[in-house]
Amino acid sequence: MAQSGKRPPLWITVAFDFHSSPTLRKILLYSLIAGLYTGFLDYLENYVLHVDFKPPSVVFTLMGTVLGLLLVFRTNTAYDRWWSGRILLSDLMNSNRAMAIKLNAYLTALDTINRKFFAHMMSNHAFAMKENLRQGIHWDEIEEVDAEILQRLKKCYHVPNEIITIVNERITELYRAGLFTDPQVLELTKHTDNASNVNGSCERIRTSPVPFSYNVHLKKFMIFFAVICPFGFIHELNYWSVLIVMLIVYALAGLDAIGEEIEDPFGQDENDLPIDKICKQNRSSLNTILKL
Amino acid sequence: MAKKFHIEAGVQPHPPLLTSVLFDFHKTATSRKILYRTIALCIYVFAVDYLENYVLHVAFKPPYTIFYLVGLVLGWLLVFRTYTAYDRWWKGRTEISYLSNNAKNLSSKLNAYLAKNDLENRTFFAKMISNHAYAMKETLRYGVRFDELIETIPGELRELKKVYHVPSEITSQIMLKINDLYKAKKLTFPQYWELHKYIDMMAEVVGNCERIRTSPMPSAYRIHLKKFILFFALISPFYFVHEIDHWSVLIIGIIFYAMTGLEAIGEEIEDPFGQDENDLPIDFVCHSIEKYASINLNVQLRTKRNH
Repeated sequence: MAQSGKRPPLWITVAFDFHSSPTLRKILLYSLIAGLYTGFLDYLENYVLHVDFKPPSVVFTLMGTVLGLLLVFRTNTAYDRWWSGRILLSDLMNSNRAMAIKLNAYLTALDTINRKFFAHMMSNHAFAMKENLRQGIHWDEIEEVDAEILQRLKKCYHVPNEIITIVNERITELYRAGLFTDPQVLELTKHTDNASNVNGSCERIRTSPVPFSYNVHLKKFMIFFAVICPFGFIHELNYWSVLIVMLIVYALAGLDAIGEEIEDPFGQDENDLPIDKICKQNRSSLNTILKL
Repeated sequence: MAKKFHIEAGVQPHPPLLTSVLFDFHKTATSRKILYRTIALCIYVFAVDYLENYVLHVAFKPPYTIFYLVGLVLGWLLVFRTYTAYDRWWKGRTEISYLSNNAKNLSSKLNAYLAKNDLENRTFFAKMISNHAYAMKETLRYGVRFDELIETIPGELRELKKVYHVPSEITSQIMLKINDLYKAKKLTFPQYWELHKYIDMMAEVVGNCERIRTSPMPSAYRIHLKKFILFFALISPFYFVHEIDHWSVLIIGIIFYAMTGLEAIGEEIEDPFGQDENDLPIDFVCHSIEKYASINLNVQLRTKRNH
């Protein structure tokens, strides 16, 4: 059942992949702009103006080091969001499975109505949460609910929240009817809380990228660095400096662009979390455990 | 409810394009502060350059190794600064989202426990859950703004104005009400027990946010870092003015801009509960808590949204 990651492609194909994703294309574009700028500057300086401005190399060493440290910070925070998102998704799945295991024990084998209700509502919750983190609910993913409940979901403001509220209402109803005992109801509500907490935490990751100022400051720093970078090389390397600057910019801008992409891990890019697959696995797990 | 939730409404400012960020030097208070400091330093570098190369000829030129070493240590310190400041910001964000999760869960549970027609208690809880969030938000700023709190019974906020710590008082009133309901047999034993969890969380989030608000980085570090940056900046022209003359203004300006910027941003970020551009969307979260509390408990709290 568990999916291992994709088989890594050949090293050499990766090394020459500059176009297969929007992020890679963006990095390539930045690198090309830097290359053009360097070539232009090189021509101006060596054949026209002869300003002879050559900053000492220690400037680049220091700026490069500080920039590197900052990019590590950027990478760490972006990756942290990605990994926290992954952990939250597996928390949701674990909690749903545990809930199903408990429900399977609490409910009688013949009680298919309630078994279906819980299995469908909890798996619908995962699907609704997933699409709420993107553009809005895909109603075809919401399976087999009563017309009445579907009506309620369509009218409500926030679908995952409404689903949890409906599940809580049903648990309380069944508890009042004597189907669940005191400790059982406490156990079940733990899982509904957990599902709602996961949803809230994913929304937190989705809505809070790295603070605006850091993001902008880092980019400014990178641009300054790229702007003065050619002056370190054009006198000695002439046109070869285009290549050098392009490589440097490709590496640095790449880290920033990847950080930007990774920090929202709930989309549908290549780098995003396999959230669709997790939702499907969640649905099959719930159905199997509850014997549907 | 005609409008559907849309995630984009809550997303914090998106990073602008790589090329557009250069032109916002003046937009936020922090970026203005950084810019002014940099301009001051550039004037200083220019003065040193002029004096040294055209007037005094002291020929004091420390080796570049010192510049590199000091700069590197400063870089490490700034990274430390950045991490601690960002850590507070992110912890604050996490706490606020816990508060919001807690409000959703609590109101969802209460909705299931309370009778459908028990409007009095439903209104009480929805009101108190939202008031708690609003009170906490302004406690972290300059004190509670009572005009934000919801009043369904005229005069009920008067008592609240006298207490020392409003969020605790509100939590305490919720606890009292839960206790009363249990005594009146409107809640069963596990329900009563369950609700305690949310009371704990409400108290915890307020305390944790106050901790972040009241404990910036130790001032010894902050002052030391500022001194370090200043000395680094004041000596830096002497490394460069002999070799690259006026260009050292540009080079030192850029390096200083980057470094003082990190320091200034760190200072701003580490108190994330204000109203700057970089601060947490705490007003937004409070409004959504009010929204979820009233939706889940199925009551109308305000006749018209007044903000």
